[in-house]
Amino acid sequence: MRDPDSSEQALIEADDKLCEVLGRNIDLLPIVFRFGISSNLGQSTLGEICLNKKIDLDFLLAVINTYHSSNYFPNTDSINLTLLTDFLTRTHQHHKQVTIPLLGSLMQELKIKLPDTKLIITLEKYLNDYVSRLIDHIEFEEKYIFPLVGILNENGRRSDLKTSSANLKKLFGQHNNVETEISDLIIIILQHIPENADIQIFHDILHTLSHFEKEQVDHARFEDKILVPRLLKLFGMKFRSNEFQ
Amino acid sequence: MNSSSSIIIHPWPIVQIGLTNILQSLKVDVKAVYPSFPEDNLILEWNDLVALIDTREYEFIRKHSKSFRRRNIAIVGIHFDALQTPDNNLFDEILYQSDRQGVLFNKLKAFSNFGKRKQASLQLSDREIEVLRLVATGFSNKQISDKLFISIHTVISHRKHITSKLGIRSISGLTLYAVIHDLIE
Repeated sequence: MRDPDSSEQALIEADDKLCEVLGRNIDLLPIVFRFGISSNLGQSTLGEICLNKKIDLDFLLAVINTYHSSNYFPNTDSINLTLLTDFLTRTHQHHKQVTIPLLGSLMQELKIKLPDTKLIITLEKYLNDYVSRLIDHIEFEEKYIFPLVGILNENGRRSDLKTSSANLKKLFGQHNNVETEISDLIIIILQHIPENADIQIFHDILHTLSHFEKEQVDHARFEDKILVPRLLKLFGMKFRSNEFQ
Repeated sequence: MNSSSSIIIHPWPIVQIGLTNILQSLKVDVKAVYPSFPEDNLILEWNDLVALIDTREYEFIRKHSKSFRRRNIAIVGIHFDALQTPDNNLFDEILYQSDRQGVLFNKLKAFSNFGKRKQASLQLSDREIEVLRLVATGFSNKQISDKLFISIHTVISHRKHITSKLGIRSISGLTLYAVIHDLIE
């Protein structure tokens, strides 16, 4: 951040101190955790931390800037796809191990405070259905999409490529639904907070959902704008080269 | 909707006039008065209102009760038959012949705001509510077009208005909204 006072969206750079970056945008903390950076930050810059922990600096900067600024998007051709799918898999794990259980416990708390309320029963069902679809989506990506990077590295067979191309196209529609459904849920909760309700619990749920939604949007940006186009392009080139053989 | 709405189904003119007077004094609009249950296609146009119905019409009430619940219609029984006992499960309230005017007034006063809050929160026209119900039930644009006898273009236009008014874009979000507002089960 060469001129941190000029804009909150100033790009994060290698010589920025990580503790200052996180001080400006604490939402980046779970993203940084996914790179194995969690302790003894001291006064170290991002460049120094990456050197010590053997983390790809360019990839780290591309990821945290994408989450930091909605205007930023990295040069898609320079992203290492193996690193990207590793990062996306760790994000899935975070959703499954942290965010989804947190939403579940908040919903249980809400049920205790507003038992047998139609609104809460309906919201819980919607959230459970949503989580179920999200888990299916995550498993679809991890089973059919992420392994394509490995197939490409191993000079995949033509039969793999045909099936994979269909799966990649299927992924686009799914992302749109996943993001929209969570933003709809936020709007519906906001519109229906009952009178005299415990505002704090609704605040906690809305805050968690809002954070979750933003993560989903950024996560989908990586997949829809980098991973899928790169894979389609690589498959297309490989497919054509096979045709000429 | 500026005031609550109601319909009366009873064959006796004196009952029709008496209830109409009480409802009007409560500023409840009496949309229609019928001596007996009208045709199904007319009934399907009722939404967000109070239906005051002769309890002897119990077969029709039972036939339509689920549909009435879905369309936010409160059912008030008019029970002037001393020989029979009405089925309490079918009615939100029952008016008895023995009820004095003050009792009738208080019973009906409880419904004077019926439908207003719900309709205000929905902010949708009756047609948009109908389209929302069908979307939330899983109907496609083509199926909605066929069912409501409107063009697909009109269905899409209604859906755009619904999304714009409610701020909800996904089908599952619209379904959740419809369930919360008792538009579907």
